Amino acid sequence: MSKYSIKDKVSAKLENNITENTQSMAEKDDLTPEEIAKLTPDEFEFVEYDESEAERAGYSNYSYWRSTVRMFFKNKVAVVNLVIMLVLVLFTFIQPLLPNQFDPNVVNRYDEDTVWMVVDEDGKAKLSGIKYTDGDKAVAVNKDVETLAYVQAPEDWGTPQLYVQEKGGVAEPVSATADANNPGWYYIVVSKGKPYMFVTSEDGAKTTYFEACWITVDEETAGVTSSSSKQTSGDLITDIPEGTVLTYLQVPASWGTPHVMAGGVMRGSESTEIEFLPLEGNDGWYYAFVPAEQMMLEITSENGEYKGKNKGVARVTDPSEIKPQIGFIENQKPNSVFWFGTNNIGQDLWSRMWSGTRTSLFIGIVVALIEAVVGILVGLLWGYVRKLDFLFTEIYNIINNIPTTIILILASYVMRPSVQTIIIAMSLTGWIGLARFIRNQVIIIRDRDFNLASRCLGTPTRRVIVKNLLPQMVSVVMLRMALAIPGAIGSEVFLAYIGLGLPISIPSLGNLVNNGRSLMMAPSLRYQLIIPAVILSIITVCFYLVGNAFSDAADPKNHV
Amino acid sequence: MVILITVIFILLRAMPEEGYFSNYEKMSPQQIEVGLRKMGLKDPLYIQVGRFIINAVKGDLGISYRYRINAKITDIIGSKIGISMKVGIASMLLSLPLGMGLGVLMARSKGGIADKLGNAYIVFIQAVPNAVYFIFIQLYGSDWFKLSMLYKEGDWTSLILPVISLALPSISSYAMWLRRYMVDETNKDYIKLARAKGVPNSTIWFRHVFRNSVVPMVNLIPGSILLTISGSIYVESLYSIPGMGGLLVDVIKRQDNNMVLALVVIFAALSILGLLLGDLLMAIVDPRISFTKKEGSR
Repeated sequence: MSKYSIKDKVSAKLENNITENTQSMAEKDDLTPEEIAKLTPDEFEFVEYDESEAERAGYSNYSYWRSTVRMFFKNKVAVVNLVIMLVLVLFTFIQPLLPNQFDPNVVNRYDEDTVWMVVDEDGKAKLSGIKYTDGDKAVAVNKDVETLAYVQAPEDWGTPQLYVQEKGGVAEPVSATADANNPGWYYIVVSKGKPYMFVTSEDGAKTTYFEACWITVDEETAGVTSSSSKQTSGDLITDIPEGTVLTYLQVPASWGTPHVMAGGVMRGSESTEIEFLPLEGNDGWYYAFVPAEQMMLEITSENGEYKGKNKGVARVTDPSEIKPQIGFIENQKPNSVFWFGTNNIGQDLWSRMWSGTRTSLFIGIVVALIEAVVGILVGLLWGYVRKLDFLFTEIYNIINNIPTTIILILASYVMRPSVQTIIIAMSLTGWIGLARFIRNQVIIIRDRDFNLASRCLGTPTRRVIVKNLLPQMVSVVMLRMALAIPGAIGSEVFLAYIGLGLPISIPSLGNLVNNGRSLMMAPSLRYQLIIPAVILSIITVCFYLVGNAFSDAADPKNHV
Repeated sequence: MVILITVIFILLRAMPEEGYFSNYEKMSPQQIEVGLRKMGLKDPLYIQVGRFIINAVKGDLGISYRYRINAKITDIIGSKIGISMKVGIASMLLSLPLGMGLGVLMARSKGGIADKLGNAYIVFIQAVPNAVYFIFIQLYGSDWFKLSMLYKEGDWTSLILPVISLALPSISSYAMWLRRYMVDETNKDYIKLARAKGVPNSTIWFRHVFRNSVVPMVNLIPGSILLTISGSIYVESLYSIPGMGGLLVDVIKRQDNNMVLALVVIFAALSILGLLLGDLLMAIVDPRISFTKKEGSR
C-alpha cells in the first residue's frame, strides 16, 4: 500500500467520516447500558393498535379496483363489447315491457273473422289474416254471414273506393269507414254473399282489380302460372279491342320471343298463333290481345327447344276474395307484425328469442355464480386446511377424469328436464377447476413474505384472505365466471340437441337453435336457424372477450 | 375407476324403470316387478355393482334392452369403434399440422396481422358454442361444395365435412397452447443468451423455442387419439355417422339404461387411459421429468 495513493487517501477519509458521524449520532440518542438497566416497565405504555394504520405502513393512494377499471377502459375492443353486451342484456329485460309484444308460448292463429288487405303502389293487393292494426277491432261481426275487412292503400291514392261483387257479378261501390285508431286503415263489413272486393284510388285512376291476365313461365321447371294480379310496372294498356283479353306473358331470357298457340277450352278445338309484342319498360314481358273464346295458350320458345309444361289461361278472374284465413300463423317470414317471423307452430320468434336469451343468460349467470362461490370456498379450504388436502385431491381426481360432457349428459338424463336440472348438471363439474386453481395459488401465496409481514402486524386471517390472497385470484375468478356463461349457454345448446334440454314451453337459445336446425333443409325457413344462431354468437363472443379483457386488467402483474 | 363405476351405477339405478323393457307400456305392475327381479335389479345395490364390475372385467357389459333387443352390448359397440376411429384420426392428422403451424406463425408474428387474425379465429371457435357452427358447416358446406350432408357407406367425400368440423376446434386449441408456450419460452434467459451469442434466428426458433414448447403439447396427443374412438358425440349424430358418439345420443333418446351405463364407463375409461398415456409419453419425450419425483404439472 503506497502512502502516495490517492485512492487510499480518499477511502480513508470517507471511512473516517462515516465512523465520526455514527459516533456522534450514537452519543446523541442511544442510552448507555447503565441507563437501560435503570428503566422500569411502568415508564412504558402500549401504543393503541389500529388495524388500518398497521396496514398503512407503506401507504400510497393506490386503489386496486380503480386501477383495474382504468386498465380495462384502455382496451377499446373490450369496451365496445361491454357496451353491446350490456345493451343486449338490458334489452332482454325491457322487451316484455314494450307495446305489442306477443307471449312467447302462445300459438298464434289467423284471425277468424277479419282480413287485412295491404295495397302497394302498383296496385297489388295482399290479403292476410295477420292482425296489422293496433288496438281492438272497430266492429264485432257475425262470422257466419260476414267478414270484417281492413284496407290500407298508398297515401297518394287518397280515400280508397271499395267495390264488392258476387262471383262473376257486377261490382257495386261501398263506402269504407276510416279506422280512428289506425291512420291509413279503412274497414268495411263484407257479407259472405258478395265476397269479392277490389279497391280503387279516390279518382278511380288506380285499382287493384285489372281486367287483364299475367302469365309467367318458370325458367327451371318450365311451369306456366296464370294470375290476374298485376305483375308488370307502369300503367296498363287501355284500348282493348272488344271480346279480347289483355294478356301479359313473361318467358325466361333464354327462350327468346315466345310462340303462342291459342285454343279453346275443348280438347281438339282449333288453335291459331297469336303474336306477342315486347312490352316497353318491362324486360322479358310481352303482351297481346287474346280472343276471349281462345283462352288456352300453348307457349314455346323462339327456336322450339323449350315448351311450357302446361297451358296458360288468358282469362279475367274475379277480384280478391275476402275470406278469413284459417290455421296457425306458421313459418311466417320476418314482417312488420312478427319481427323475426314465426315458427312452425305459429309462435312469435321475436318474443321467443328474447325470452330464450333471458333463460339462457339466467342459466349461465347462476351457473357462473355457483361455480365461483363453491370454487372459491372449496379452494380456500383445500389450500388452507392441510388435513382436507388429501380428501379433496381424491375427489378432484375422480371428477376430473370423466369427460365433462359425460357428466352433463348423465346428470340431465337422470333428472327431469327443467331449468334446475340443467343448472345442477352444469354446476356439478364447473367448480372443480376453479377450486384447484385457488388451492394452488393459496399454497403458493400464503407463506410469501408480504403475508408473513401482514401476520406479524397482527392482521386477522380473514383480512389476509380478502386483501392479500383474493386480489391475486380475481383475474382468474372473473375469467372463469365470464367463460362459464358462454360455456353454459353452449352446453345448453348441446343438451337441447341430444334431446335432454329444456321442454319446448321454456324457450331458450338451445331450443330455438335446435328448432331452426330441424327446418334448415328448406332454404326459405333458414331464418329460424340463422337469427338465433347470430344472437347466440354475439352474446357468447361478447362475454368471452369482456371476460378476457377484464381478467387481463384485474391481474395485479399487469398493474404498473 | 371402481369408484367411478360405482357412482355412475348408483346414479343410473335412480333412473326410470321404462329403460329396462322393450314393451313397458303394455306391462302390468306385477310383470314389471317379476321382470326387474329376474334381471337382478331388486338385489341390494352393492351386489349389483359387484356383479357388473366382475362381468366388465371379463369383457361382458351386459345386454341392450331397448336399442337392439337382447343384443350383446360388446357386439354393438365393436362394429362402431372402427368408424369413429377413422373419422377421428383423419381429423387429428388434419388438425395437428395445421394447429401447430398456426401456433408457430402466431408466436413468430406476435402482435402482427397473423397473430391478430389467429386470435380472432381462436376467440370465435372458443366462444361460440360448437353446436352452432357445426350446423352452419353442414348446411353451407353441403350447399356450396355439393357434398353429401349425411354419412354414406364407402363414399369418402361424405367424411370431409365431419372431419373439418372435428378439426376446427382442435386446431384452435393446439394453436392457442403452442403460441402461449412459445411466447413464454422466448422470454426465458437462455434464449436471450443464445441471441447474444449470435445464434441465427431460425435456429433459435426451431432448435430451442419450438422443441421446448412442443413437449407440453405431447401430453395432449394420446388423450385426443383415444378420444377419437369415442368420437365427437355431436358431430357423429349430426352427420348420422354410425359411430360411438352417435350411439350414445341414440341410446339416451331411447332410454336404454344398460347401454348408457356401458358407454359412459367406456368413455370414462378411455379418457383416464388417455391422461395416463399422456403423462407417460411426457416422461419419455422430456428427460427432465422422472417418475420418482412427484410431479405436479398440468
